[in-house]
Amino acid sequence: MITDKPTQSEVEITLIGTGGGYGESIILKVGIDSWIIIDSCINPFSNEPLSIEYLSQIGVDTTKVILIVCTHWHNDHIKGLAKVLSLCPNAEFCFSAVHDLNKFLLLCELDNTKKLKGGSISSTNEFSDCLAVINNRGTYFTKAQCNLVLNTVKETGLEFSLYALSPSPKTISDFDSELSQLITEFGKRNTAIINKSPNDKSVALLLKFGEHRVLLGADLEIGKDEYEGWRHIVKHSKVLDEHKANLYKLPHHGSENGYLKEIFDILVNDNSTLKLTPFRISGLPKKEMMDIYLTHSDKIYLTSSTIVSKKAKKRNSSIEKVINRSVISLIEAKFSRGIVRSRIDFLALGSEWTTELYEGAIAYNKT
Amino acid sequence: MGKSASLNTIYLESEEKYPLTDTTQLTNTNLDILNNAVKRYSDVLNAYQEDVTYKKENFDNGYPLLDLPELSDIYDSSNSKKFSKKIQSWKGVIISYTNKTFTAKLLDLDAGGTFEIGEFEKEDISPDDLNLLSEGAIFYWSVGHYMENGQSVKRSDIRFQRLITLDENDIENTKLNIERRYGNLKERKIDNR
Repeated sequence: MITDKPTQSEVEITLIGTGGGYGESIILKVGIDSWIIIDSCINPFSNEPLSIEYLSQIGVDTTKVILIVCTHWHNDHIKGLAKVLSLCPNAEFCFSAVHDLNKFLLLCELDNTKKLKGGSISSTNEFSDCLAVINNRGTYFTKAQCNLVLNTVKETGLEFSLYALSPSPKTISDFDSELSQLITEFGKRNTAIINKSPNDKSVALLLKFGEHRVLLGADLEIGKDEYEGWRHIVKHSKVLDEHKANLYKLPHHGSENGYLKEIFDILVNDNSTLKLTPFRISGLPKKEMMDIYLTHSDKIYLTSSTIVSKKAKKRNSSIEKVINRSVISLIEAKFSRGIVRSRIDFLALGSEWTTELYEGAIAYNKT
Repeated sequence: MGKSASLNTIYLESEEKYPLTDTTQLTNTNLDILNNAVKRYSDVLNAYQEDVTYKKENFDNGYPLLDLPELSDIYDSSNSKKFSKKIQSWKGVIISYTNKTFTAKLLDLDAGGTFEIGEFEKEDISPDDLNLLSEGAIFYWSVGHYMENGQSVKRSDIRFQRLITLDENDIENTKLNIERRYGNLKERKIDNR
């Protein structure tokens, strides 16, 4: 049942997906009753954050949420995050590092000014709303970068520590230059902000408790060289140890640019529990990539099927005729909530992850 | 009735100040007011063409000055001047384009909910709007009833939002907003492990 709360001695890693386009969110339970929310997704019909809906379903008080992480400011990871923050009064906020926060705030506020004039639909607005929430209530924020421990809970004789594996120093430095350029180019044209590569700034995370490791890949791509992305992590991370992860949230919807064999050589055990959220309207994940992931594990779980509907929304037939004459194609990004929930008893010796699927979630296999 | 101004000036101003929204409706009364204004504008132009001695002070930059209704009170959309009834509209943001086509994320302004991805022919954009096409550009796509030669026909129309320029005041106000909105932010510093 989706309504049951984990026991005090269970760690929970729950991935909530929407079929792509409306976000993904990961919910972690560490220690006896401490909760962490990573990214946000919404129901596009109600605009309600699915993470809050899930916590409510299993009877978790949102005052138990201690940390909210924004891995990057893409719409499919940040939608509804300001509301999540406002509903979790004790949560601190963590986001990808920027050298000059004031410069980033200037970009966000310029975008907000443009939005007020009707000229922006950018996800920076959601991000600036998040900062406004923590500004008003006085909770702390943390800028995540590689090799930082973002949070530690010490309970039941164990440490539950969440580490940031990215962004790398070079990525942070590059973003500083990119910010200056975005601000310089801002305001002349009526366009939304186009930041080509927020995925580079994604915060990949590593959860350690006892001998267990959980790797959460966000949308981090592999990078051009050893100073960026996953290439930087496998080569230079200072927080990896002899224990490999048995649960891995695959990066960037299973795309080719998020796969690096060395991740499995160094960070993830064979036949681990692998999870991902499809981004169906972009055709992710592709079958070729899933075939590669199947060589690493046969325990692959998706928050929704990968079947893409090619249809537009259903409308009055006379309107559909005009629409069909006017476009080459029109495809609805369908919303389908799916939940992949994994739990493990951290006090029991030799315990393994058990995974349950809800609503649109599926187990992926070759057939 | 509003201030004296040329119809052209009012049109340009209204288009900038009152961009297309899904709330725009042209009522029959408003249409009558507009039709009367256009007729008076046309009469003055005819008078000017027939009588070269027509007083130059009655013109502003080549356009006749008229005591016209305040258009902003009755209409807030460049697009709706063409529609007698709008049935369906979307707000779009361009995510990619080629020499012949462009692809956009489309938000349904009527039903809300899920978004759609549409691919369009570039030739469907009016020549005036073509130079506004770029990645991130915002446009409005509407389907509605048009009046053509007295006949109501269903058609679709794409209009790009006009230029929005952030001036010095906007920049200064933005900087003030940063202090107001984020002045109490508290960072937790964590040492690298």
